[in-house]
Amino acid sequence: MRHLCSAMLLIVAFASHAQDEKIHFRPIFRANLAFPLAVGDNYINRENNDGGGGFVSVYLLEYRKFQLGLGIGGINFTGKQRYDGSEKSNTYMSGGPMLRYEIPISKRIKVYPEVSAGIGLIFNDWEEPGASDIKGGFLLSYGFGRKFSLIAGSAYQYGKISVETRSDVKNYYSDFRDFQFYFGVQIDFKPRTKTSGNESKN
Amino acid sequence: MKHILFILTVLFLSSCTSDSVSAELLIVQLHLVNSDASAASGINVSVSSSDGSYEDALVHGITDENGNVQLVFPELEDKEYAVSFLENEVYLEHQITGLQHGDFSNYTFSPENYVLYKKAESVTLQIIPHSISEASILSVWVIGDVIPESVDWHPEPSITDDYYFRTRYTVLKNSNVTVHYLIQNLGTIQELTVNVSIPDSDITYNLDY
Repeated sequence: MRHLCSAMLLIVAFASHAQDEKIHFRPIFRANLAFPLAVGDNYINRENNDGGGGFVSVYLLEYRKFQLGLGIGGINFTGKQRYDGSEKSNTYMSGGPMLRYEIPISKRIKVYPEVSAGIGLIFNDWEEPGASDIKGGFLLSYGFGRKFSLIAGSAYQYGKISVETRSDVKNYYSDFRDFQFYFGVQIDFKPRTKTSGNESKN
Repeated sequence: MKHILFILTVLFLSSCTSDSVSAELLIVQLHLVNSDASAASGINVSVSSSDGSYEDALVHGITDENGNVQLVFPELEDKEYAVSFLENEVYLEHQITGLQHGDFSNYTFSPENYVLYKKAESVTLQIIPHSISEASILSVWVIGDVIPESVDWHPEPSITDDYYFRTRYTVLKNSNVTVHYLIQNLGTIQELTVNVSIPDSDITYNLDY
């Protein structure tokens, strides 16, 4: 939670500190489903099945074509059935800052390279340890009108679960890596007033 | 004003504290062997937690061809753990109970070369107390090549501290055991013993007292 707290306050501070003509308040809401594909020699990949999840994000600030916001969501790794018939699963709920860059391809199509960081909790039978992650990927949006877009994309996530155990097995249980594939919608509440590539004055 | 807000934000950031919780993972690491010290492979082993009933299965695994298995599971507050070895066509069922957090060194419980017994090397000893005097029998227990169904890792100091009456045992074939029993006669309690030779088949022993 410390990192999430930091991220939120940094955004507020950034907005208040630099309200010149280059930084805009541009709220963009995004919601997407997310489907993970875990990789690597780690507990999440080896001992769980890939599930699904979703994220909601709000981008608030824009500097040139960089957009800064916050996102929160969860991904579930469905778990494999145990010998006794019960099923364990791991759900990672996280939130954190997101930064992306808008690249207009055409009037309707935009590409967004994006990085983000998150911190949250793993909900499983481990008494809900903390976890953190960083992600990098891209989104592709196809606009319908000026505000509404469909989005698709993918990202690579590297995360770490807060685990205390014997050193030779610790990384196996603490690290997780996955590719995530996104499908969703995006609403730009304050679209640019001029053609792509020109900055709008706030 | 904006500079003040920025400085206040930085100061507030430093006051944000981490409330992240770590999961403590414990490890049961076993090397299972037969009574002849060869590896016991293909045995289904599970760990369960308990506050009395050992009902919550945490993890399971199967020993490899070298008899090794490693089970990792979350540490649960105020719980004890049991390791269960499931019965199969070859091996007898067995259980280690009463494991506590302090039994895990460097997060690991690892007894050396833990022996599992095969059904083929065991027989049943049934003791039938048979009264031939005025005495009454208070307690029966057997010491020797008894194959325990369960091992309490933190047992009570001694079964002889209390009256203990058990008449059915799984024992090694072709071995010798000693039957201990307490009798009470005219207000006097006396401990007696008798040696019993175990054949290669189930045995019923009439314990005269």
